[in-house]
Amino acid sequence: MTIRSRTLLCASALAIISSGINTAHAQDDNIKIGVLLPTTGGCATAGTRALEGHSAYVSALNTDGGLLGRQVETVHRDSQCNPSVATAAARDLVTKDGVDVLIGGVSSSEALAISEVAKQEGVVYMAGIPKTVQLTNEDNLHPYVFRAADNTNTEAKSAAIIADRLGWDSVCTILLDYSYGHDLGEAFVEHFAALRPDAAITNQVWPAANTDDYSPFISQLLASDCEGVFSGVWAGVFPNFAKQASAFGFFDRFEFISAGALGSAKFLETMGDEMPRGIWGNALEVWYYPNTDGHKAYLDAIAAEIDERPDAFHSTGWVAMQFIADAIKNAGSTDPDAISAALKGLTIDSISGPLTIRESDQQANRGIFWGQIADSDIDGYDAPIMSNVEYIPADEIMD
Amino acid sequence: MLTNPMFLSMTILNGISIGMVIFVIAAGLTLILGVLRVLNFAHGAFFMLGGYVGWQVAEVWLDGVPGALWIAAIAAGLVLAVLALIIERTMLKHLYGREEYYQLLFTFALVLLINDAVKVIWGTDILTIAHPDSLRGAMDLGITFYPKYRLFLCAVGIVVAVLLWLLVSKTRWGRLTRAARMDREMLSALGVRVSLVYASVFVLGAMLAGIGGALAAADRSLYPGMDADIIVRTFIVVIIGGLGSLWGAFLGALILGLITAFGTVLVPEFELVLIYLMMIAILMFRPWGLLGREEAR
Amino acid sequence: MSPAIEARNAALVAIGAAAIFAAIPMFFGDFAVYLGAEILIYILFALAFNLMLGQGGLVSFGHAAYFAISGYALAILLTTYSWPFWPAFIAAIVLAGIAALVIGYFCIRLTAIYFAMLTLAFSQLVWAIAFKWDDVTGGDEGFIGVAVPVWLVEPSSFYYFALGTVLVAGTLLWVITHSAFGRVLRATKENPQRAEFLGLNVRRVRLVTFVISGTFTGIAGALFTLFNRSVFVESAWWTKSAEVLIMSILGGVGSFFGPALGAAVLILLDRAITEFTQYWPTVLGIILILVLFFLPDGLIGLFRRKRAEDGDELGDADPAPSRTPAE
Repeated sequence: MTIRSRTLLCASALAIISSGINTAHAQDDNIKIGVLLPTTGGCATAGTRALEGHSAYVSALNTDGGLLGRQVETVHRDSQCNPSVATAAARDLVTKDGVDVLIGGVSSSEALAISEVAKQEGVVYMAGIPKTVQLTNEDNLHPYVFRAADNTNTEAKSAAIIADRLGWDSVCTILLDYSYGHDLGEAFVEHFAALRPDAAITNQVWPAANTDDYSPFISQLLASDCEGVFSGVWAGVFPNFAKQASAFGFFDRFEFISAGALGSAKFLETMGDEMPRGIWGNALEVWYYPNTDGHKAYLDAIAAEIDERPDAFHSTGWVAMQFIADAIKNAGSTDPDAISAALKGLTIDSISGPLTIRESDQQANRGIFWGQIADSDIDGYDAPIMSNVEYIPADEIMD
Repeated sequence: MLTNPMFLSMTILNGISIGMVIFVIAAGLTLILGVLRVLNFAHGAFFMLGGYVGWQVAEVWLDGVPGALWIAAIAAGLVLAVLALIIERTMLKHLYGREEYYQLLFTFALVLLINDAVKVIWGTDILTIAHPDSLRGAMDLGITFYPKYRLFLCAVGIVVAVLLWLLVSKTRWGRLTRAARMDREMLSALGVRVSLVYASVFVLGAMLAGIGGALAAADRSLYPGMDADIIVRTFIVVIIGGLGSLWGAFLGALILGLITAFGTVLVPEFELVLIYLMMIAILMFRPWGLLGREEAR
Repeated sequence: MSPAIEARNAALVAIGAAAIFAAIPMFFGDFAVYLGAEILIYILFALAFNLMLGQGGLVSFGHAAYFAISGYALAILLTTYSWPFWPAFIAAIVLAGIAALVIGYFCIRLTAIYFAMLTLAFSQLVWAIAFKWDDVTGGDEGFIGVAVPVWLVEPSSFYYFALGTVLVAGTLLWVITHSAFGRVLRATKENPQRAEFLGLNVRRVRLVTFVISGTFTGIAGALFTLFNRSVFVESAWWTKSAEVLIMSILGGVGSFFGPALGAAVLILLDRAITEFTQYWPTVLGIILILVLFFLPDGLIGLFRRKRAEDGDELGDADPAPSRTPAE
């Protein structure tokens, strides 16, 4: 035998041995939750916090004795905000680690990728952050995909409600040129036209998702005749846009409502003085509102886990895991079909009140908090906050 | 919309300022390419690192100090210069003369290492440097108004171009770099330490990227991985300008900036592919770029 | 080593490796099957890529383009247009070859760094089109739910299909490498001027190589679509091109089987290391630098060096890249 053939044989042997070893440690009694959240890549900020929120819930759960008398174990893989990576990692979690449930995803593409694996492998997948309506539309819905997050309809249509209240008669939009932006735009235009039939959409600009210089879009809007701007420039890219737009006097000229979690606490702390005041932003959770016991318990649990003030994204990991935990409890087993059946129609007592997963399309009726960015009026807290926070429920607007 | 003179002049300025930021990166890249024959994939990462160093100085160490940004830019340039010197002396110099994919892969390894280092040191949250007080807001130019800081960035691009041109065409160092480009063996036979000429070019290129990164960071935001987008556009600028050509890079950057600015207005659906189509069109007629020369190889 | 012995040895390697790969589904679960399939696909990708780099000395930094084009084409033909499997599979591969012909036509006019940069720019164009054309490609959400034929749905049946395809394609690449054309190609790499003198049309040889390489990359891309039953725009992003270059150099570009070894090792390392740390890029960066400085012939060089010490003759590979001192 030649040396080269030996090399290949060695390599193949190595492959087999390593995979053999890796499959071996998958047997024990814990309930395994496979978590696919990016801790690197373009959406790591959201992913890291969702993972912390998830871990906080699991810690609390295990302290109370776990689920079905078994401990809950989290197996995390970094999905890198990349659907190809998410696909491979999801498969690994199911086939190698033997997880009972998949949770996670930040971008739409990650969610759709994980959902595809969930369908192939027959494992329940709960999306905690992804909002794309494509995930649960007729083409892509299957018995194992669920959403705990708000969807793009809820987010865009609640923005349209605010735009209507502000009395906008001519509107421009600046939405990112990918599915999140397109879905937002479609829902906003539709709902705004229903609310204010005489209002006009004057101009729509579509910067690419990875734009680093927004000036061509800013000047187009400045040259347009509109009262207000609806934006989908989400928190991950907003600092860039805000800085460039402020220098053009953009926020003095227009009223501005933006989707994309601009009201998240950590984001506002990072932006500080650079955050334009008076614009409308949203968040899935606001640490100083509402003042309920459920919310306070959540804040304490997060504080125990991370030792700092929670961000809105922490709540996504928490709520997603709460749905899964309650479903496993109700199902009395970790059989995927039993969990799936238990999730349909399930109502949980969440941090922002009761939330229900609809049987028809397997989405939670999660609403969203809106508010106007203002200087802090909370003692000892300097960063900007959302003022006049209001929870807009999803039931009427999520379709 | 373009018939509106205010909007037209704003769009032209947008194009120039987009181009000038890329030029500052492309200038160093093309210089290194021309003299060292090394395609430096890490040049975008140098730019990013410059931004982060600038942030550390301007927003943490000298927060609130007037003129912090200027000190930050100098610091970023120096840090990158030292880093580049270490990289060149300990590793890169051993790869000259090897097949080009060795250098390509080496600089790609630097991209990976720098990105992870940035993640470890500064985390994954988005960071921004505030505009300096003196350049906040917009300036009235008569026909239109325009953000002062972006006008400043245009000026930086032009100053860099002129200084580099003077350096390369009027100084002894410049003559040596041009000679090293033509005939390395001859130069070293004449007793010139070519190795040091190479090192100085690499250091200068990295320093420019560092300064550019810090100055640009005040008009955009910083995040790990931001280099992956910018490096491809920088390559395009260098390709259409002609590899190794300073004014080619300047021209290429202006074209890219203006196409981005006008393409966004005129053909928004195709803006993303427009720059690639333009590049192909140019290369059909001038395979070696607008101001490049055919290489005998 | 005589060509006959060389062919015999290569056949032994291929048969040995194939036997091991074929045994995986019999002894291990789905996880090993998925991992094995992924390795097989990347082995083909790396072999196809290395025809250009190792044999032709052409550094393509845009091979993700052909991988993605055929991947998307197969997904679209199977799902959107409901084509039968074989016509769709072949059409997708041919399309990758045509794309390589068009892009190659522009690129082969340039050499070395210019060539690498232009291939990169073209692959980014492909990425931009895939991203923007979302009615057809699914844009950033990707093309989900590819209508894979029923006989390929089981992980193990796809696995054997992939194994067979990679074996056939790999054999063809080996034959091409060792044919008269392969010798001509090496001549254009070692001394293009002399090759021109001898009446060879260097550009045409390079263009043909480009097309062959792109076509075989297309086979890998089509397999990847069947594997994932989805295609994502990330397949066309330039880091994918970097990945295959890394695999080839890690394994050793001077040898036919080097890139295959590199692909297998890189994927296994990636999986093993990302389980423990999110800093896989750092580990990879360090590995790359070590290989560049200490293993210029790649991992496969470890074995060859040992053989040279034992007094054996050298293998089929080209000698290590020449080193000219910088000063």
